[in-house]
Amino acid sequence: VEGLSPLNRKKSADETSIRLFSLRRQCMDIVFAGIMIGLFILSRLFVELVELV
Amino acid sequence: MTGNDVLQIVLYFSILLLLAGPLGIYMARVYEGQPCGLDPILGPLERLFYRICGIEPLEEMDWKKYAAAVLLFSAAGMLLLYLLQRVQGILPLNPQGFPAVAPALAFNTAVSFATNTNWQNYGGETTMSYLTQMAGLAVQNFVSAASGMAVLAALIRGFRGHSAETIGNFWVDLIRTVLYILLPLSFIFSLLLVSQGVVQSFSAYKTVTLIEPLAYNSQKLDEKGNVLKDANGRSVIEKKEVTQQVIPAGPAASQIAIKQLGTNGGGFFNVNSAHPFENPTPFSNFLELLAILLIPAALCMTFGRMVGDVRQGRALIAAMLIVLVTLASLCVWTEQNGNPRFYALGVDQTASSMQAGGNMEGKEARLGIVDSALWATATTAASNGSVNSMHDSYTPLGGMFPLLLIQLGEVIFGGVGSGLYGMMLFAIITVFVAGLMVGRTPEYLGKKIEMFEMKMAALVILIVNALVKIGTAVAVSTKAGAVGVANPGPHGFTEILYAFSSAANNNGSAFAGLNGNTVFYNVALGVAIFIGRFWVIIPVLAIAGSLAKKKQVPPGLGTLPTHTPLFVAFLIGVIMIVGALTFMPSLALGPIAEQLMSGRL
Repeated sequence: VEGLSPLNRKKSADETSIRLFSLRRQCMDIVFAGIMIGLFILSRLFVELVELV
Repeated sequence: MTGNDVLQIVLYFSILLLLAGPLGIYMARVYEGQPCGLDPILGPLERLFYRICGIEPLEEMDWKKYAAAVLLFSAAGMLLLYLLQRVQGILPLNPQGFPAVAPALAFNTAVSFATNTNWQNYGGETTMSYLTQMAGLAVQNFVSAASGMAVLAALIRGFRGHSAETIGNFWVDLIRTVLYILLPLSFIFSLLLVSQGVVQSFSAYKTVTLIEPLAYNSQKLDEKGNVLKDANGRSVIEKKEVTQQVIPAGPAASQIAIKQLGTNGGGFFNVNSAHPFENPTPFSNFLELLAILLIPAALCMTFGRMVGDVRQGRALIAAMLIVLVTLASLCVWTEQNGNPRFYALGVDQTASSMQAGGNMEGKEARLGIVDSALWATATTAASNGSVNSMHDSYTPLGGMFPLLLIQLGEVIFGGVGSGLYGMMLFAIITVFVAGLMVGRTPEYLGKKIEMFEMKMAALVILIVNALVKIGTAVAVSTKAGAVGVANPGPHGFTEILYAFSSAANNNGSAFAGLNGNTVFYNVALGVAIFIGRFWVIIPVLAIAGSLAKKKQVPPGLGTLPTHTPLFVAFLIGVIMIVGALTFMPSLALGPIAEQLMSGRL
């Protein structure tokens, strides 16, 4: 951001934060999709466990 | 209670029972694959679905296949709903331009709606686009309800089966439930609700200028949102004036019909059925209240019909009615008695022609105490979770009865399908306990109840109880859990206990007062909701599979009749002992302690 006016500097910082924010959210999407799939797999294993009982 | 209170309660339950019989017979015909009157219209559509999805309707499943199909279908629905919420900002039918729902909230909502829980950490009119409401939430309202009813049909087939390996076909049960039961009923109810003024529109929200501007005093905030204080440390007050109001709209009626009928409960608007666009008239209130218990009550009759002994269904509905009428009456009575702290101040809380009397905080003046308390108990008995009053504002004991109904395991009518299969687990435990007490062979509907069935029934009860207690314990002992609580002391504890009871039992109603839209609560409640739904369904289907394999045993001298008043009394006793006593210590820390602190029991 060297050489930019203070206003542009602020804009650039905002854009960076938006990109980071989006990246963070995409990571969160993967985490939550993982939790849902993980719960499904655990439940599928629970079906097998119940049969063993 | 006043005469009016009694009249309304009697009228409600009388009409409910009158409608439950014919609907129960109709649903039995649907599940038995018999002609039910709508076949000429819906039959071709049903066959088209089978062809498109590659379903062979005559191919039956064993319990493991059935459970796998339930899990797979629900998980796919969850992921799709999550995705829809996350991309709603770039999709059509979003006149307000709502952005993507935050990940944690989208996760909680997806799990909640795909499990028929409908816990809401969001306000519908400020978060969800019309497309998300219709193609996401309303669709899950239909299919999650149908999944529960399909599991019940499978369990009933387990009782009916004779040395059989299979318990039906999940896809057939699901499609027939949606097509022949939920869609026609929802269509009729939607039209009735529209006739009462419930909104059904794709228009954007309207901003209107108020005829009379509203002036009010508010605490002045600084740039960071903190309350400004004067030199004496008192809040600086500023006068504000509101001249405009945003009036929300949307396709609400079509969603509210299935929300009530499918015991889903997720409101189109934030305050659910307390909102005048969601529940505008006394008649719409009665219709929505009726819809909460209609299918769960009718399913008891379906059960009796399908097992070939209608007295069995009547026995279960009798047990449910006795518990619900008792707890609903107690709730109305405590609310009509009023706020215990007001007695010390000499406030007149008696009902008269000039005032409703009692505790009206958190209740709509147009609905009054009976309709609010009756709704509160019906919605928590039935795992519906919709509200027309704020349970957080009930008196401590008044709020305890809805909480207790949830903690009984959602078996007093319960969710569509899930309530009755939960009740049948209690019936299995009852015949086992009764058999131990009097030395009779534990049998239920001609099937011997053995160790496997008892293990599964116990597992269901233990899993749900563990979810509630561990969840509450973690929340009250961590900063992340405590931060969402609006009230200190026993009331705050009740808010957390209510949230985890509601989630684990798939009710979905909130006590209010707890800010659940934090990462901690979105994740913790989401996980509790998921396990509370599917880790109950799996043992239930395992029982169905086990029972189907067994031979029918003709009733003998040693068989305990399960249609008699004695059995109904036994069943209620077991439910109260297992359910109520399990949670008595936690209730003592919450509503009971709060009532004692108010100085009046």
